[in-house]
Amino acid sequence: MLRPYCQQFLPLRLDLQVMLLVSIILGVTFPTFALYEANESAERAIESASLQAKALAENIAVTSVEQLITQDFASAEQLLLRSARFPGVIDIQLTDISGNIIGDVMVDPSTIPILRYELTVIKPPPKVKPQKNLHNSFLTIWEPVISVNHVGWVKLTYSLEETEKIASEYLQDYMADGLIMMALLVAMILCVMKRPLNLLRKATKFAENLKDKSGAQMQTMHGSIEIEQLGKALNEASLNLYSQETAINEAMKALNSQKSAMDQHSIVSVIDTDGHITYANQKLIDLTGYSKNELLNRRHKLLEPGFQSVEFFQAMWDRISTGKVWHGEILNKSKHNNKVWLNTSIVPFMNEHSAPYEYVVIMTDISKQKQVEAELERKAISLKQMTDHLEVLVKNRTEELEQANIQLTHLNKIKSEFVSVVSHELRTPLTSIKSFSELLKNDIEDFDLKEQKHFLSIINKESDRLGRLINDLLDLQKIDSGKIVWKDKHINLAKLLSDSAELFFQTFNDKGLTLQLSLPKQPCSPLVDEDRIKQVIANLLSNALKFTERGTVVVTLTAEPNHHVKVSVCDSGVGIPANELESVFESFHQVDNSETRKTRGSGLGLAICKEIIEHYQGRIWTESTLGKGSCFYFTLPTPNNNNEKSRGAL
Amino acid sequence: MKKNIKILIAEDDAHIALALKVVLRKAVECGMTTVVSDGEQAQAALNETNYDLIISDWNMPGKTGMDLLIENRANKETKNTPFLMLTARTELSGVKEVLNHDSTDYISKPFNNDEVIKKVLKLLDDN
Repeated sequence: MLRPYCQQFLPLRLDLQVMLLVSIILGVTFPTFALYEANESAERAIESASLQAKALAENIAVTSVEQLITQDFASAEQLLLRSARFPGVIDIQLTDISGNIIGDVMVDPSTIPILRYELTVIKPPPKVKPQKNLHNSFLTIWEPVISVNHVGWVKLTYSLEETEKIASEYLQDYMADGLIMMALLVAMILCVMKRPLNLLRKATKFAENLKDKSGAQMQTMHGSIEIEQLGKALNEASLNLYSQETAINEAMKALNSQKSAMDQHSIVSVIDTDGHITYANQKLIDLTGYSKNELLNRRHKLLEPGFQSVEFFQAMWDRISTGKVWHGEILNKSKHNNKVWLNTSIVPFMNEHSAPYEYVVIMTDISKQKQVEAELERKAISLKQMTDHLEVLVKNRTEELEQANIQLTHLNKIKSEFVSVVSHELRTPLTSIKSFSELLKNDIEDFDLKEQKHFLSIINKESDRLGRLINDLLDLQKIDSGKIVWKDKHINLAKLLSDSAELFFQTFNDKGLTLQLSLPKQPCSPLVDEDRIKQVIANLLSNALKFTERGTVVVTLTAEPNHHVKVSVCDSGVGIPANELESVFESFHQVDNSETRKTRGSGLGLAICKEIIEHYQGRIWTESTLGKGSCFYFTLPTPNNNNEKSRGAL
Repeated sequence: MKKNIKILIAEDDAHIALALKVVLRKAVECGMTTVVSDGEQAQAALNETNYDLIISDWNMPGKTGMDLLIENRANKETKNTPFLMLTARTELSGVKEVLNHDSTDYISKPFNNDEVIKKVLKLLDDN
């Protein structure tokens, strides 16, 4: 507690401080010692005076015994006057035992003893023994006068002024000595301290100018070990300071270069813990369009367009507040509302309590990169869409190809089956022909004429069957390959139906069937190849005949809307299963049952019909109820202006 | 050779069936020749009579000649009955192992009458 007080009130030079301290010490010590010594001297003087006074009093008491016994007052007074001449005596009284004064002598100021008679009686001490009373400036001694008995008292008053004078003189001597000693001591101290102090001043001056010394060294200071050490320490400090200063200068230079480089490259600001901008480099000023003054002391929020969430910035502050570096991308806005993406690093600077006191914000403009990224993203999305689209296309195409492949496989299978079936269909009649012709050729004698005829008949029928089959195959192949010559002309379809039916009437009758025709009165004249349409009718009637065991077969011709005519051939035969209504028009397709086997055809008739009708943009189909009969329909376009034109164009 | 041979002919083409019947009549001393036009009828006949030889067309409506063969090879009564398959098929790969069974042979249409006789006699002899 004292030290600050001392430092505050004693900002004195060291020598003065030492001098003051010595003065205080000596100023307190010497007077105390002097007083003590003076007191001791006074006491010794008083003791000496007391002894002298007592000896005088005893002498007076011994001497005055006789005068008291004899009542010789004059002698007594003489004795007292003589005794009073002793230096220091103030007065002397001689009394009897009751205190009645026998003689009283006092010493006046001129030191001449005189008799005094004012007093007659004084009160003696209660006990008979010597008494000594010390007063301020005098001493009173009561000495009993004893012969055999106590006969009286001697009262001696002795002055102590001399004693006090001696003590005072003694004190004065001591004080004078003390002051001289003090002066000598201070002078000595000052002499002794002069050199160290000078060196200290020099060192101080050196230390004061150390920053300008550039590592300069002091001359060696010989004064004391401490001074020498101080000199060495200062020299060392000077060197250290110089090297540190050099290092700091170099570091500062490097730092400035780096700062300059960073300023050239980056956008830099410094913000305080409240988010206020305390520094903004030129790039930030250029980027934002704000002046330096407009930026400084404003919150960094000034530059945020509010695009990013409060939580985003809260997370950023939470991180940097704990002294951690934050990296991220921030969208900033300029004074003129231009938006700029900045790749940002925020570095907290920490104080000695490990708490951030400011944040350095280093930013790089990545707007172009962002644009490129956005563009890339757009392109990626576009590419993804294209890829998706392509994938869909590829998928669709693959599916189409798969479908096509399935169709091709199916067609290939159909073709193989076609070849196989053709082979089978050709071999079947050939087998009968070959077998029966071999029998007739090799063993004709084994058979009678009837059998021979029957075998020949079989050979003939199977040859016809083979011929029809070959013709049908050739027809189909010609239609398929487009090599057929269509001899189109307007025909009377009703007449054609009638003529065709005419050829079948007998056959139908032979089988017990009825063939009916239902024909309109108005003419129907499609532009077709008459022979081909006849082939269609013949095929349909032939099928009806084959698959009908009883009942009626009806052929109907009707006019349809949109310039079409419809022909139907309905039988009361075995019918066609629903799942084969479409496939009956495929080559070699035959409804697979025992009835059809019995009435085996080439399997190409309906396929040829389909080809012919579809050649004329007509349609052929069948409706059937299994066990009740089937109806085969086909349509053909009839002439009108438009149709004629379109066909003409073709 | 065994006499009164009982032969079952399964053929949906009546003319071929007749030709076979005539050819066999000349070569084999038949006791009975039954002609049926499909597999079901053939199986019905086989269930009634123990035939010494089965001649069957492969391609018949309903139950085919191959169905008939497989069914009867699995049958204890008929598993060793000689079987001659007639076929107009040209592709026989994949079914030969079935036809290669003992007592089984095939002949392609159109056939030579002599070849039919030869195969029939061989099948009957082997049995």
